[in-house]
This record gives sequence, C-alpha cells and structure tokens, in this order.
Amino acid sequence: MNILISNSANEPIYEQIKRQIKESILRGELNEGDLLPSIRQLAKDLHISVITTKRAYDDLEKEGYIATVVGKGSFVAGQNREFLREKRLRWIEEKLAEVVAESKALNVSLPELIEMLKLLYEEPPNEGKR
Amino acid sequence: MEDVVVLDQVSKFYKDFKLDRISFSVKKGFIHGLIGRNGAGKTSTIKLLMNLIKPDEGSIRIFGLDNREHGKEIRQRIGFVYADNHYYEDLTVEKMKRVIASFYHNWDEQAYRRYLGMFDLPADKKIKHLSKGMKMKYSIALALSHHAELIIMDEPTSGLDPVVRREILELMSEIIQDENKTVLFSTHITSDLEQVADYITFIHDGHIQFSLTKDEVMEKYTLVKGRTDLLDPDTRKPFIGLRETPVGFEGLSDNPKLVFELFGNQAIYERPSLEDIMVYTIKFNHHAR
Amino acid sequence: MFNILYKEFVVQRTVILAYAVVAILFITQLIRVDGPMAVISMLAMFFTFGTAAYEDKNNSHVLLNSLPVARKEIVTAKYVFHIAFGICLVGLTFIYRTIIGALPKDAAMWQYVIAVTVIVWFVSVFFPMYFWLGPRFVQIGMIVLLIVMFTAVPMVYNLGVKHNFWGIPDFIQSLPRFLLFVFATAVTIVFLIVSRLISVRLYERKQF
Repeated sequence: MNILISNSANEPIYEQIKRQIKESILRGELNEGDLLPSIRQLAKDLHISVITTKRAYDDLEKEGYIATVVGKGSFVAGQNREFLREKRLRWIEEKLAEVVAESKALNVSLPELIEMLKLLYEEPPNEGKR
Repeated sequence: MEDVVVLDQVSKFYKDFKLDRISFSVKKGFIHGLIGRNGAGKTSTIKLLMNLIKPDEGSIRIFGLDNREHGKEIRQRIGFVYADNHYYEDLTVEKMKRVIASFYHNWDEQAYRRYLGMFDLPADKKIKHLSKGMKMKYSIALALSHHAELIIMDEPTSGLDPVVRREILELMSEIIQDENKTVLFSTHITSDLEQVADYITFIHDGHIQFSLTKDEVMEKYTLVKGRTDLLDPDTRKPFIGLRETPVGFEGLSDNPKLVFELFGNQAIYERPSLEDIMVYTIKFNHHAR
Repeated sequence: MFNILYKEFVVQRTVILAYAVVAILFITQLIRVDGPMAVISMLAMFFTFGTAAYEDKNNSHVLLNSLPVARKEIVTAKYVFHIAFGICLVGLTFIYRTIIGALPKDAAMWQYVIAVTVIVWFVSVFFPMYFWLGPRFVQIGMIVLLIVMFTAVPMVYNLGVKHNFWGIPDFIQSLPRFLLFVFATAVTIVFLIVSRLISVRLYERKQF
C-alpha cells in the first residue's frame, strides 16, 4: 500500500490518509486481515505527526474499515467484504434506476433494454474502457 | 495519555526578563516542540526542568514527582542534549563516556556502541577536535544510551547544516517509535517542528502563546491574500497581523470562518507555515504594547 | 559519590601526574628548599585552585548538575578528593623517605601531621569561599597564593629559624601529647564539618 501526502492540498492530511486507505481496501490492494503500518511508523515514514495518523486510524475504525487490537496493531476489518459488496450493489441499483428513468423517457422498452444488457455482458472485458 | 512533564504557574524573575506563570504539559510518547525567539525563555524553561535553576513560583513535576525533591531520581531517567555541550574538551570521546556512564544505573554499552557506529564517532578523538555536528551527535548518543524515558534537547539543530539536521529529526521520530519514550526539544527553527513535532508550545517574551497539537495550530490560523482595496476598518479586525504592499496584502487570522465570511472568493486562503504564525504573532504582540 | 571522584580523577589525571613529579623533585631534594613539607602543602593548595579554575572555565557545573547527582554529593566529593590528594602528596614524601631509610625521628613525624592538617584547614576555608564568591575568588586567590609562597612563607620561615619559632614547638612538646593530639584533631574535624555544611548550603542555592 502506498500513501502519498500533499502538503499544499486543501484537504487535511488525515483525510488524505483515510481516503487513500479506503481506496486501497475498496480496490482490493488491502485485504481482510492485512496488517496496517503502526501509527508511529506511518507518521515517521510520511514525516507527519503521530496524532494525525492516529486520528485517521481512529476515524477509519469508527467507520468500520479497520480494527485495532491492543499490542498487535491495526488490521483491515473483516466485514469489509460484505460491506463493500453492499455498497457496490447499492451503486449498481442507483445506476440502474437512472438507466430505467432515461429509457422510459426515451420510450425504450424493457425487452430492448434487456437486449442491450445482454450485448454488454457478452462484450470482452475492458473494451472501450481505457 | 500520561503527562510526563507538568509545569504549573511557573515564574522566574530576572533583572530584565521574567518567565511569567508558565503552564504546559508534555504528554508521554510524543515529540513536543518548544518554539520561540532567541531570548524568549526556552533555555530557561529547560534549565528549570533540569533543576539547574529554581523557580520563584509554581511547581514542576516530572514523571509525577516534584523535580526539586526528587531531582536525582528524575535525572536518571532523562537524557539531555544542550546546544553548548559542556563536556570536558580535553577528554577523549571514550573517556568522557566512561565518566558519564558511571552515573547512570541503566547504562547500555551496546546501545552506545551502536550509536557510535551509526554516527561514525571516533572513540579516541578529543572532544575539542569534534565538529559541531559531531558533538551534537555525541551528545545524542550519550543521551540515548541509558534507557532514558524523556529526552530533553535544547536547540539541538542550531548551527547544523540541513543534512545533519534532517538526520537528527529522523532520529527523534525513531526514538518515539517506542511509545514509552518522550522527546521535548526547543528550537527557533520552525521548519524542524513542522516536520516532526506532535505538540507545539510557543513561548514569547516569557509567556506561553499557545500549547496545542500541530494540527490544531495549523487549523487555527489561516493566511489570507487579497487586494488592498478589500481592507477597511471592519475587515482589518480579524487579523493578527497584516502585511500591506502596493500590490496586495497578506494577513494572518485566527478566525478563518469570519475571514471567509468577509472576503469570500475574493481572497486567496492558504495554510500558514509555523514561521508565518510565529512572526505575525510576535509582531502583533509588539504593536499591542 | 564515587562516580564524581572517578570523574575528578579522569579529568585531572595529567595534572595530578605533573604535581606528583614536581612534588618528587622537592622531596628528593633535586630542588633544595628548607622546608619541603611546607612546599608540599602549598602544592596541594595550588592544585585545588587550579582545578577550580579549570572547572569554571569549562563551565562543567552545567554538565555535572544535569546528571543524576545531588548537589550535596558534589560538594562532599570535592572535599574528599582534595584532602585525599593532599594526603597522597604527603604520603609520597613519607614513602620516599622510608625507602631511602631517612625516616625522621618521632618529633619530625609531626611534620606530616601538620602538613595534612594545614591542607585540611586550607580546604575548609577554600570551598566555602569558592562557592560563595565564585571564579573571581579563584583567580585572585591563586595570585595571592603565589605571592605568599614566594615571599611571605620563606620570610616567616627564616624569621622563625632565627627566633627558634618563638618557642612554639617547645611549648607544644611540653603539653601532654595525647591531649594535644585529641584537641587538635577535634578542632580540625569540627572546622571541616562546619565548612562542608556551609559549602553544601551555598552550592544548593546556586543557579546555573
């Protein structure tokens, strides 16, 4: 996991850390049970205050992304797989709702929509994505 | 979070200077920076902690003990590094070490040798032949070789080149990887604090201006830049200090909300450096007299 | 306290050696003086002045008092060290004379006792003054001592020889030996204790 801090950005440093760790977890770079660097080691590596890294970790723990075991360190929390999946499913639902609304507005029928969906599913992955 | 050092309403009166009811605490496991100008009272504060000078008022507790009653005990657990290290200049590095080591119950020769190697210090050289940077490193090596819980440093980086300064700051971060160790260091070089401090106490003219976490300090102030025509008696109010030039103004405010209300998108807002905060605050205090 | 003594020794090692050599020169009569014991005593005094000056110049009080050490210990160590040094110098004389078989008669044994007593008295006066008046005292005192050593002492000694020391040695010898000894020792010890008490008080008040 890499964390890059910008001193000149307006986003507070602890937010930057939180965001990047969350992204790492969501991207799958960090997996359930993975040990995170200690708050002190992280502070030293990033040249920032221990209090800042502690704040980031505390928030992440509250939000359910990580869990801290006294004497051992901080780990990527277990429920994340489910949690992530939930989040992403919700995202899909939202997007589908948008698509449905658009289709109705354009008078695209459900069978037509399903056809489009089929074609997209059969497309080789990552085509037209870059 | 334990308080390793607590100063409570400490005053010290000199002929033309005084430390006036200083109060602040140093929390265990962190790097605490004491910043201020030359002559602001940093060295006096440290001397008070080391019981080299005695307060006229107030109390000082270190490790929970009164530092006057238990000075000897306390100093067993303190590693000290001064800007002018008053070692016996005619002694060699090795001989001086033997003298110092004899005073500490927990002297760790292995640790000392490790630091000697790390800093490339020649054991047989006379102390007077060491460069300033080497002397400082030697001082640090001694301070870290007896399992001290509190490392007190008075201006450890002044007079050193940026490379050595960086090394020393890195070392401080390394020290508090052990959360039972605490570092207190005084300096007027604000960039050092920005890199490494967790807490910052700003002392000016014998008074404590603030004692906060570095984040709190940074969030408390904002640097505002704008056109000169934006200034009027009302908009000047929230500024601690203003620098007005023909091409615009720059000001420091400790009320970021109000400032944004007043200027909105017409001004540029930046995070001030510790140096900005220090300089503007000092200038403000001078005008307030 | 032993670590302080160790420190004194390490720091002054070369100086101690130098003084020992000079002492030997006087003892072995390579440099002829009439009262070698007096010279030995003076050497011890110079040593005390010299070391004090060195400590001040080096500003080592700051270092020493930052270490885990009590001020009382520092003061006591000074007394012990300087008196021990004096005794060693006197002892050097004794050893040398024993070796060459020139052990003095009973009466002259007093020489050693007096020399040590003088040193103890000097130390008892020196340290309170030093802690009270500081480096200035050391600088001035050294010069005064030098002057005294090369003018007053020889003068007094010669005068004493002329006037048979004003009958003092005879008077002393007429007194009950034991009583005299006890009395002198008691006075010296009391003086030493009082001196140390004052020194400790003074040093504990000091601010660096």
